[in-house]
Amino acid sequence: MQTPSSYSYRTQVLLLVLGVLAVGFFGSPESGNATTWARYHHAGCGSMSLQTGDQSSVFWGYVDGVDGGGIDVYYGETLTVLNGQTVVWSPGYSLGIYGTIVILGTGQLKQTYIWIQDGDGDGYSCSGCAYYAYAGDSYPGGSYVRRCNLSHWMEEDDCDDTWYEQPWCDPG
Amino acid sequence: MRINFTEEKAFWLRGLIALGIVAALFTIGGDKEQEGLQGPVAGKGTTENRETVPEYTIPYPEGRTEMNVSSGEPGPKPSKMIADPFAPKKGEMQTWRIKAAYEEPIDSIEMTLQLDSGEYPETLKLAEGTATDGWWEGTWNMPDSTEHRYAAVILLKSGKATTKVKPVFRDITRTIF
Repeated sequence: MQTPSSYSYRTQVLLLVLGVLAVGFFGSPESGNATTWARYHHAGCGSMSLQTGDQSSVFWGYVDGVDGGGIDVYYGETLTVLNGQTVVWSPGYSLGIYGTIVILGTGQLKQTYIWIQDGDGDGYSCSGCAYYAYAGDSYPGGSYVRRCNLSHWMEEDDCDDTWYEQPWCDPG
Repeated sequence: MRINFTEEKAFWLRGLIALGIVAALFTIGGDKEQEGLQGPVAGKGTTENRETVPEYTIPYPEGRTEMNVSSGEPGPKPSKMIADPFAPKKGEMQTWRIKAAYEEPIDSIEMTLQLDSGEYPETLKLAEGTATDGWWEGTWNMPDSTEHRYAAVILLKSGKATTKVKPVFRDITRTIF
């Protein structure tokens, strides 16, 4: 006859195993879903891998992609480049296509840098600027900065790009 | 003995509850992995009650649109796709053509459109060339709108080899702006 403590142990083991299964299941790739509108890299530099489990396969802005890194599209995944869009990966890094890339119309892939306007130099891009970034090998002048040098580049627009560090817009 | 009996019952009760929870999770999660080809799934991934399309959204190209495809996958190789027109209104006619080649004959090309209110499976037929190098075509009336979501899952099958292409043209269903 098993003791109460052994039942408790068995229960815990059972729940642990089932919990792991459940977490594993919910963490599994949504392979069938052509998922999401991308917002991969907020700020900072780094490469991006599109692989099973990622939730995005299309970028957001006309000039978008990765600044300060490369892009790998792994088996089973698709990166879509939209019409009129330039998807960038940086010099010195690679574009690895082990899956599929679909390029619409005038879309293009380009190995260069991404530049965004930041008039007051506070690390926040001006409102909407992330959407209209610039792709080029050298500094375009003006208030442009490399995207990977911004503190925030998309999720927080600068509501006043002439005032250092006033990132939050007051709707009132 | 009486205590042990109670503990035993409690053990099995907890086990049954845990199994029930896991079964429920699998039932719910099963929908998540459905890849279409099983009839329109109205309401799945629906965009009803979602916000309007954000200001910063790249518009769809107008009319006939060509797409270049590069695939590093080991199966059938798609190289070009044409949608004509690219984003018709609901009810309007649309034709998709896909150029694909492979060392073995391609058996089928199946395409599931993922649109605003559901997923819609379509089958393309060989229209030009051969099954090892040819154009596949399908024409249909657009079953749904594309305002919030327009994507596709395309399966190119040859024997046991399958290439999956998943272009996303718009999906603001989970956008965070």
